[in-house]
Amino acid sequence: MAAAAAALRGRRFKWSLDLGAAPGARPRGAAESRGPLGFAERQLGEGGVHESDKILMEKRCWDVALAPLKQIPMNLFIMYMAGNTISIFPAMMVCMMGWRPLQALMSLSATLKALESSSRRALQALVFLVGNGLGLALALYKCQAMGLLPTRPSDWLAFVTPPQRMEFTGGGLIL
Amino acid sequence: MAAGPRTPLPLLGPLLLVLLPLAAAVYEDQVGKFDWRQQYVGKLKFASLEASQGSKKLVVATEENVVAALNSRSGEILWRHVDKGSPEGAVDAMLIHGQDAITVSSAGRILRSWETNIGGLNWETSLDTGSFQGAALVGLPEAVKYVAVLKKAALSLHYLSNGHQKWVEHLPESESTQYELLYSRGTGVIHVVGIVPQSHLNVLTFNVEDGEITRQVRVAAPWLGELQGSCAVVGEAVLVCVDAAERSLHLCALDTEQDMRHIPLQSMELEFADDFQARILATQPSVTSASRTQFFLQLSPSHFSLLQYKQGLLSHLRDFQQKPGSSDGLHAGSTLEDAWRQDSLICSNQTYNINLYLVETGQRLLDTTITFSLEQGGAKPQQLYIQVFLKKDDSVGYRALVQTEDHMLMFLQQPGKVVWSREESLAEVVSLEMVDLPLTGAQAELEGEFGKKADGLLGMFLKRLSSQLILLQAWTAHLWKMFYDARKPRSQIKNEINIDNLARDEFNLQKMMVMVTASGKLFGIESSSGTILWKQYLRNVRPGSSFKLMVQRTTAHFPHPPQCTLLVKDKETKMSFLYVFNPIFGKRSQVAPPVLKRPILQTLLLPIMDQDYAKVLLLIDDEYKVTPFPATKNVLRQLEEIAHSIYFYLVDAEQGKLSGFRLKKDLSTEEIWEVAIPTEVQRIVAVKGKRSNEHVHSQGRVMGDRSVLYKSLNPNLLAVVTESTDTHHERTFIGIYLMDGVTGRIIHSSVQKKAKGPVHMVHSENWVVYQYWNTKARRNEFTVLELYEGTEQYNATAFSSLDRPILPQVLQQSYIFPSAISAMEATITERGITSRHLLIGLPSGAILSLPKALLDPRRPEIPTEQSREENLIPYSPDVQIHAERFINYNQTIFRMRGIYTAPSGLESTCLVVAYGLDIFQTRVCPSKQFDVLKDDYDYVLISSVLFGLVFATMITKRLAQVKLLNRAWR
Repeated sequence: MAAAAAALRGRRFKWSLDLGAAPGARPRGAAESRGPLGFAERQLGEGGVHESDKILMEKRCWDVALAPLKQIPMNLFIMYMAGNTISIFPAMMVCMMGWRPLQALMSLSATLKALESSSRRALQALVFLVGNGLGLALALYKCQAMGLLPTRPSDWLAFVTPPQRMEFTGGGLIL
Repeated sequence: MAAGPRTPLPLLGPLLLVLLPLAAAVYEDQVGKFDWRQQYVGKLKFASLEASQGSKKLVVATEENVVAALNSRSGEILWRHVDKGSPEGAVDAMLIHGQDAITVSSAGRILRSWETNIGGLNWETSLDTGSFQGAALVGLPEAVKYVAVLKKAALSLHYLSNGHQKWVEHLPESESTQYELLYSRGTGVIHVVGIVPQSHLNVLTFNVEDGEITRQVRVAAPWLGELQGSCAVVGEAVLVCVDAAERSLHLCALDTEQDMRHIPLQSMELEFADDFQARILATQPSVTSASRTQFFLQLSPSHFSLLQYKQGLLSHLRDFQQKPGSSDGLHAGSTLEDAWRQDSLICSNQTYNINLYLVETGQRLLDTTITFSLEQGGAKPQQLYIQVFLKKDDSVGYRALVQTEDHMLMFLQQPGKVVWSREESLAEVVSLEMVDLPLTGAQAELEGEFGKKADGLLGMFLKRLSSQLILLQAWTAHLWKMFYDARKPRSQIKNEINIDNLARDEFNLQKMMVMVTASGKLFGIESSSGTILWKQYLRNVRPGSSFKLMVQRTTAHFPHPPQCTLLVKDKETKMSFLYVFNPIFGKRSQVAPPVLKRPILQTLLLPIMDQDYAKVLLLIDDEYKVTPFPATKNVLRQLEEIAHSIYFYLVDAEQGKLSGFRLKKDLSTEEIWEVAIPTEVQRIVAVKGKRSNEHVHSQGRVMGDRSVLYKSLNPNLLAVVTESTDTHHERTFIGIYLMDGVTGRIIHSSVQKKAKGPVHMVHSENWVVYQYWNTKARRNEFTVLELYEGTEQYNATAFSSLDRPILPQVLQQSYIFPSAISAMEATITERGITSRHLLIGLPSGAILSLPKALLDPRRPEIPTEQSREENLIPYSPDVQIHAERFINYNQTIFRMRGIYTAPSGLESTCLVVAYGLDIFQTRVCPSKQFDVLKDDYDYVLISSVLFGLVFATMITKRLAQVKLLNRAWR
């Protein structure tokens, strides 16, 4: 029971130091001159930490910019595996492949904001755009390969109107 | 990119598509729902009414080579046997003995005996060749046992019980003598009378038992030209002949006398008509006893006189003469009852009387007049059959069967009640058109709204409101009627269709069938039930005329009435006339057709209309002048404008000449091309253009690589079929020519060697299908030709035959068909989206619906990926007949002559009428009913599921709300 109470106490006051037991306790004012545990008088140097952070940021931005490009080999593999038949799974995959770059392009401003901190912002934005564009192109190519794009005359056949008749003829066996 | 692993689906695809149309048969509960059949027997040749009052049937043999029994109470067919349609099947004689009917058919080659109650064949024997002259029952004093058949050179006697031949005897001097008359009266001898015209008569007497000639006499008769009609046997075998030139009768007893006695008729004051061959009509009540001593002498078409020759004395009993002023003839009939002889039809104003006279005295029997009137059409009665019987109170009763000129049969009862009537001219339909029914008032109101444009916004709005109000009114009336009907038992509800409540249904599935029959009678038949709504007899049509029926104005142009025009051309005089009528009500139109002074060779219905929306009809006469009808100023102006684009072609099968003409502005013509097909080698049997109301939705076909193969849709294309004049099976051939009707250019020609007609052909869209007999392989074959422009269209916006530098590609394939065919037609739909089927009438009476996809020249021999992609069925040479594809299940149509198809308002549905001896109407859906819910659609299930789901949604919504609230409180 006592141990439980101690544990409870310990939990509640995690970092309080029980100095009361020490003989010759200092007056309260003296405590201010002493910093807390791990307190350093000297100011921390700016350079080292800031440098590595920036590199990290840059790396992070490059990651964002290169993500669409990295997707492409994976997409290619999926495309190869899915085949050109029109059935529900390949169709869903193609949809996803097309939709993701589109989504990314639509939320372009948000991505650009994330890239704001980077120094090579323009290049990263370009890479991001190119990557998404490539993804989209790949999806379109897949659509084309699957025959989903109305690019052939047969796709417009239903809209071909019958030609107008220039001559009129009739007759038959003599009655 | 490499294709991934293939699923078996693309392989299955075409197979499934092939299997789909197989399930095209009707379900059992659909029998008679959309279809009906009417059976006919044709124009009567022989008829026999049973003598007893209670008898229920009459046995008939007809010009259509049908032997049948009709129910005399209702006119229905009890049984019917249809022989070959060719002269081979013609019934030459029919004799009735008790329950048996004996027929001689096929020019005296076949003798048959029918059981008249159920129509079974008792026996059949074939006779020797030789032209048939006559047949008679031969009786011994106690019973009728034999039937005698007289041929040109022989007389044979057959047992009635089994048809076996008892004896056959050669007739002496048969080269010079025409034996025509056969007579027996139960005395054990048969008399045969032959004539050598303008010289003498040969009278032979045969013994029934052994066929020995017991007596042979030569009677001089130099004045006699023919036996049939002018001579008859009366009384105790006395031959009576009439000599119109000398106005006298000649008599000779066949048993005893050797010379003819001459009895002048001057004393009786009988007037012979000058240009009429006088006739003698005698009757024999029973073959076991003597003929009546009384006989008719027909002096003129409307003058009969009843004479009696008894114990050597000739007396005059009564004159039957038409009243002056009425034009119709008298008709003498015969009788079966012993003491009575009937007769005479007297006409005034389409009202006819039948009177019964006592034969012994010539007195009229009281209360025996049947008065009946014929419709306004003006068809005269032609034949009369009488059935006389004794009523229970010993008075005389009779029934009469009258056949009129327009082949209508009427069965009459005293005192003039028509028990039933049959329109037997419908057994010979020659031309048929289907016309849309008119809109109801409300529908017309709504349609009219779209017609006019300028009315202002408010006006249009008000008009719309008012028409909607009318529709609402009609709908409530309809609901009320439904409610009212629902309370009545189902059997009482009859949707009587009559000419007053005719209205188009919402899908335009119900139409008016306008039928033209060979007798010159027109019919308007409602297509969903087969009710005859109107009929019109054209009196001045001679048998064997050719007809062409055209719809000049449809029902779409309210308030102008629809208008049909019938061109009738007499084969002999070559003169033609036009009959213009309203196809819905059958009334003659007010529009006066042009008087045609010259014979008309062909007609041409142009798409241009006059101000009353009637299409312009051009009539081309034998001087190649053109008469337009209607010929208003407006029409003439329009014609002048478009004359340069109107061409027509005439095909003269006799001279083997095809010629094309161009219309000039002054309505004269100019010949621009001529193609000669030498008649010594081949003759033209059929020429077919395309149907003018045909729509083709798709201009091309999608290939496996997704390019387009454009169809060559030349609207001016003609398919000409020729047959060789040489019919030897090694040298016979048929030729097929595809020609352009404007330029006369032969686009494709092919000759099928060792092939023989009759050729049946269908020409539609970009394909021609024809069927012929292959004499080498001895089988029926189909050949299909399809024309394509290629992957590029030469001119996608306009089609001109004068500017076609590239010939179309012609693809061809042949198939074996296991049966001969009697008619063939392709289905047609409103917009041409539905796939096409061929409707093939088989000689068995069935109609086969064959998908056109089976007759596709692009069917590959070795299926490739691309052909699979295209859903092409791999080629197999034989086309099979599956019974499920019969659209008329067991409703066979005898002697089918044609199939007519018409589009309905539903794109999926095509209306079909097959005609021959019978008429059959149905609907077909070649691509299934994709635009309407099925008959057996489960409305209850669907609506209960729907309501259930709505209800469940409401409950769950409430539950969800409660749950949310509870959670919020927590």
